[in-house]
Amino acid sequence: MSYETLDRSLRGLRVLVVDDNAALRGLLRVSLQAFGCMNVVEASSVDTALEILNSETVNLLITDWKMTPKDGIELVRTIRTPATSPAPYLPIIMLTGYSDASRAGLAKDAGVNEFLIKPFTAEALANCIRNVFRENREFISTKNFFGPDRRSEKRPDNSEYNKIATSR
Amino acid sequence: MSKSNSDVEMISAPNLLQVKIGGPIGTGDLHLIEKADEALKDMRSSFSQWLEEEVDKLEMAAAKAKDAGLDTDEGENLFIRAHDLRGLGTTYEFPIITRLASSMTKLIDIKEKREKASMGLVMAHVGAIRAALSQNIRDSDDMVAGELAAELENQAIEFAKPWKDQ
Repeated sequence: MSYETLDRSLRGLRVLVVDDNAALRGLLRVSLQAFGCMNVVEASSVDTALEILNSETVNLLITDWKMTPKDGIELVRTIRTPATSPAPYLPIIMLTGYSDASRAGLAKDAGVNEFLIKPFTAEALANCIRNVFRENREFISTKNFFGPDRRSEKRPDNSEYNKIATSR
Repeated sequence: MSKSNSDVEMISAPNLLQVKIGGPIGTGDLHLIEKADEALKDMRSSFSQWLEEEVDKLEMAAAKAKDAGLDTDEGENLFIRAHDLRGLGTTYEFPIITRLASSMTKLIDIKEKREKASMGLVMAHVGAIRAALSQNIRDSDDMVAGELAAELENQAIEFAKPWKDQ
């Protein structure tokens, strides 16, 4: 697979950012724009996000977990319901302050592709985006689960980047 | 394309970006990350104001929870506000607020805890968060703030012990 920088890869793609905190949405938007993604759509609630997904094509979703009245997990479950979802295969990054394994498991069970732990950095966001799209993970559909196949999950080899980063 | 047995279906999901993004972060991305860092720095002048708004929300939620009780919807709302601050404090360059909010969430993150948590200890966390912001104490290098945070953390950890493995 040929290497493309993030700005070339993300150009022309639409990213939906869902967070009830406007400032945090703004931080994500400027980071994405710096990466070359100029088409960032924002939603302050799960219902608004679903309206957007039902009306336009989105290539990547970044959603916060803890929102009211509906939370990010509910959004992911709705998206990963093929019978009714407008985009069941949509790559999803979950933004969360939770980093413990049990909650990560809950989100994976719902069908999340990647996690971005708050407070996030531009570097962590870039890593997440690359991880979401580089893995050729199949989707698995069972009676109780629809989402990325967790058995084939691979962690990225960021050795090149780490070498560069530590020398900076 | 899919392959299936009776219970499980494997589906090769369409992914329009796989063709375009070929691997881990490389040298070509470094300047983009630096550009994003710069863009985030440009927003720094707004951080204090945004954090002020978040702490206002926390205090309002705390006042309502104090009146209604932690074991009500107001208690859950207070947890959400504290949880938000845990994520935002460091982003807004006040890591001590992340530390204090993190300690606070240990007191009220589940219903069973909210039923038993001390309102006084919860409000002490809220007060410490406000004090850190108003006195511009950003991290634990400030000796008094560091000791206060440690004491609040110890009390929160002690309280949360019965739920540690849940």
